Amino acid sequence: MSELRWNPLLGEWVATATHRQNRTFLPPENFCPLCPTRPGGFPTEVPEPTYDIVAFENLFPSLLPIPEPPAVEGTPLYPVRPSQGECEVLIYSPQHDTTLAQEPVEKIDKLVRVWTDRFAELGARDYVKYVFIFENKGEAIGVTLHHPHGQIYAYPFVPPRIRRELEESRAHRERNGSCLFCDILAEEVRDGRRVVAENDAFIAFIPFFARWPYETHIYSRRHAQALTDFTRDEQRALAEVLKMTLAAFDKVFNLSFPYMMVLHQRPTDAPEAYDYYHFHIEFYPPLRTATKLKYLAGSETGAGMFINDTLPEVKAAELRALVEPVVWTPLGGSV
Amino acid sequence: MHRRRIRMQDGRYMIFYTFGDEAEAVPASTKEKEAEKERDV
Repeated sequence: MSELRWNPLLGEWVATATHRQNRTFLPPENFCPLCPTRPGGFPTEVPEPTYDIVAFENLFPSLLPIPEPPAVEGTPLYPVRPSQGECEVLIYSPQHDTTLAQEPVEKIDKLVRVWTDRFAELGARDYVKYVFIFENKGEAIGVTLHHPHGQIYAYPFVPPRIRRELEESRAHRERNGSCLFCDILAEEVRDGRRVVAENDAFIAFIPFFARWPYETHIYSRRHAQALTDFTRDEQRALAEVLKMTLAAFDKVFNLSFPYMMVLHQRPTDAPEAYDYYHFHIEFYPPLRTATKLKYLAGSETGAGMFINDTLPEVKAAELRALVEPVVWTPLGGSV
Repeated sequence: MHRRRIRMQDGRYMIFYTFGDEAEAVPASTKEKEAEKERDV
């Protein structure tokens, strides 16, 4: 049972998806549904003995290409609509116990190319207005499967957080004649204290306004709106900065760093209409120490104001000291 | 980059990505005909 219910207080849609209560929850390693199906072994969701990267429709989707009619009737105050859209799972590796941070830069480069392909294909569907690519990593974030994977939600509307960024960047363009993100990038480069990693095409930094201790953003230096705008060289450069950032994360507390990783791109309903927007990736790691989590408590959840217990300048210096150069190995070995 | 699309028994699609010679790279799938790429399993 799934539908979209309108919240008139916040002006946003909420999805109900009661079937997701039954989804697989932290299965033992030998019953992982995202591992390949080995000959004579447990039949997983992937019916082949190996793979490189796989994308498929989520078994427990909150959005469907052909959804059922809403289970409840809407009213003028409470509109409802079918939860039309698409939910995909992206498996990064056939290896159960790896993570994106541990994978070589060549694999991350492949993932960037798959992200680009999925953005183009899903964004071309007439009922899709926004393609949201993300990864929840670690039990601290609430993952239900440890196998390295990300997800894609193709929404039938522009989600509220993106809508707010669009509104702010459009207003900034109208006021100043410049891209808000390009201006943030210039400010971060000029200041320099919050920069974590960089190359010719991308830069990772903890923004001045970070809400989480290790919140890291990756911006393209070139004003671009989506993955599909990038050249092959820029795809490789993005993989490099991702690798540098992810590897540094794991060194902070010498553990596999949990995070939410989200890709912010332009909506897909009218690509040419969003030239004031700017592609970027945001990481929200929940750890503030090796053993303490940053919780979204009363102020964050109830009022929308985050309280960061740390200084972005200090945390960025910490991460920057852990960044190592990326080496490409043509045969695909580890770096 | 190459894609191979299959249709699972419950109707969901699954796409296997493989990566070979750069010269053989194909553009994003919007121009592909999905039906031609699908096979039943």
